[in-house]
Amino acid sequence: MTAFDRPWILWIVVLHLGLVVAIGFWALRRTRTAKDFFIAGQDVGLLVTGLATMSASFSGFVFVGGPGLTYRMGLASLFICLPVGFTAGLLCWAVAKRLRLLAEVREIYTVPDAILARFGSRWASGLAAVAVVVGSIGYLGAQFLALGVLIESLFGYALPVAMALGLAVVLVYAMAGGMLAGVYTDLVQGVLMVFAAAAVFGYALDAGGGLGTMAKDLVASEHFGPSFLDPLGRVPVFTALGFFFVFGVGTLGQPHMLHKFYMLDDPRKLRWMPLLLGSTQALCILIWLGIGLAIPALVARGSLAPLDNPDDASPLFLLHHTPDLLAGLVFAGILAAIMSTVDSFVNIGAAALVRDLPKALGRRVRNELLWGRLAVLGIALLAVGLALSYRDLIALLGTFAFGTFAAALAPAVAIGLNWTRVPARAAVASIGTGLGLNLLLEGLAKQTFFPFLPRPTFLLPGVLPSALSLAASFAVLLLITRWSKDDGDPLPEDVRTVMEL
Amino acid sequence: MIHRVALDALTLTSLALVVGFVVPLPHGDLLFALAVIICPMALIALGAARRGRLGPLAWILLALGVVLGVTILALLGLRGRVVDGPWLFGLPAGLALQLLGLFIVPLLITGFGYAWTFERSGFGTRDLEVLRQRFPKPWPPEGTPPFDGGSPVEDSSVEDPSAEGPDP
Repeated sequence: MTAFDRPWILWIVVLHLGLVVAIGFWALRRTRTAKDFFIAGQDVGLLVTGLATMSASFSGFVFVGGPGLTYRMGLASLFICLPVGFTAGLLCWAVAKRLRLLAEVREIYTVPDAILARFGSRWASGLAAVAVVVGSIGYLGAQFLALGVLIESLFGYALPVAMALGLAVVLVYAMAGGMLAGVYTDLVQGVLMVFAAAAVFGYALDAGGGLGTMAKDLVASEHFGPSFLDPLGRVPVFTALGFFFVFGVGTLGQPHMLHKFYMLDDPRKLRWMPLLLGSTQALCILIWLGIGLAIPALVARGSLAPLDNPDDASPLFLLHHTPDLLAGLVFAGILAAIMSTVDSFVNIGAAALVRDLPKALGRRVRNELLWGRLAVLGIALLAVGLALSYRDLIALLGTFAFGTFAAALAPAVAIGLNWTRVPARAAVASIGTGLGLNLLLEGLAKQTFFPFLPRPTFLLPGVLPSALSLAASFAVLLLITRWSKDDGDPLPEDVRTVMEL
Repeated sequence: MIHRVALDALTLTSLALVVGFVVPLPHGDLLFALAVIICPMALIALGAARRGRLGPLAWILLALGVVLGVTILALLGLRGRVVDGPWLFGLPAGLALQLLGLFIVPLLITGFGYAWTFERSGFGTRDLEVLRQRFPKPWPPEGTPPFDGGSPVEDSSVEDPSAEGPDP
């Protein structure tokens, strides 16, 4: 069954895509400066910032990849999304104030900008920009893969055609309106995502006969068994808690979330940010839990054939177990989640390419708006290439991208902005270690082109490459700082004041 | 004082994690769980402490640490006991605890805790005033169109004075 058999689904999705494109064009008329393009003119209120942060951080990874990963590894997969219970607070306590105050005294649009202001090192900001570009391409790859799976299920097109369709729509508004388009579409999309997730959770409970019935069916099933419901049952502790570590602490290195703190018009509105962000994220992960339990439960009781591709869990459930109107809204909501994240990342990646890398090389792009739009196109095409060549679950590609940002940026941002002693060389070493180690370990683990290259067998069973990279990046920054005899590099007065307030 | 404790804790945990990921240690699971809990708490303390003190935030961190710690210890204890172990709210106890102790309760503690301690540990009302008084916003230059065409890339020194510092 496709959406062509259920025209209401199709109409609602098409209406939503039309709305998104219209907002992109409206934003185009309001985008006049680089400040508008990259940080929405620093004139956005709490509700919009909170929903934009939520919808940028939750995406195809959560809505399509999450249930797929649960189907494969059981409820250990929840360790990826459960840290949202405290990450909003962690972000606000640890870095939001410094980042926002820094944007008061310096021209800061991006995370590499903040690193440049803090450490005064082009090496540090240049490496951070490279990490942002690499991570963005990975994250975008996961989004395009999710978008492709969704459009493939909806319309029955082949995956490459489905991805090309999704890419075209996303590019229209991302290239047109930049972050301003992203932020205002995020407001609409965020509301839709929350509604969609809550509604689908209700239908998942209904389809599965309630949490208790689903749990009992899964325990009794030969295919899944009790280990499916055991949080530490199907994967080693290092994997389960490794997810919790990377997706908890690693949040401090996610540019799409850090970036949003620059946009808030009045930083005092941050007071309610953790509650707003955390509660909307909490509602959204209901879809992960709901479909993650319902589809295996339906397979367990024989109502559904086992899935060939676990990533089909979400679209399959929506097409077969929800009414037309809700399915349409939920598909639109998931598309919304994917597209808002894609929009954030193409713009963040473009900013790294057009602003941060040239700045690190001592050059400056004059027409940032034009080159920003061209960079958006280039990054999106690279990400589609990655998505087409990737041969695993959406969530695993997303984990690699999240881990890249985390390992490269979290220590330099979270400790660097809170400890004046951290010298630039420690930041450079930490960013280089996090980025290099994560790419090396993930590359060695996944690559099949060069069979003579070794696998990273020195890691204990279940250890995530991104967890080791993140820990190593922290250790390098802290040890180099401690071994430095002086009190760190001299800080400009404004930066020192920001760090001491 | 708090900064020092937080930095010491971060150094120890990050080193322990690196070693523990490649060398099998006795009670490795338990040590890993401990490090995973300490790390975010130390980062919160590092970012939120003012003049070496945490104030009421200390209670929030204590509550968060206890909830996360007890939950993870319980999950380790309940491993492999879905069938013969206790069930809560229609779910195996491990799963119910995972949802409550790692997600819902921390969300409430940190969400309301941040709002409660905002003036002291988040954004003090005076922070912004002090900053704006001392450093009036130097950018963007009013009336200067940022996109003035011309060649896409030009050689020029970076305007940000902080960028001129020595590189390692």
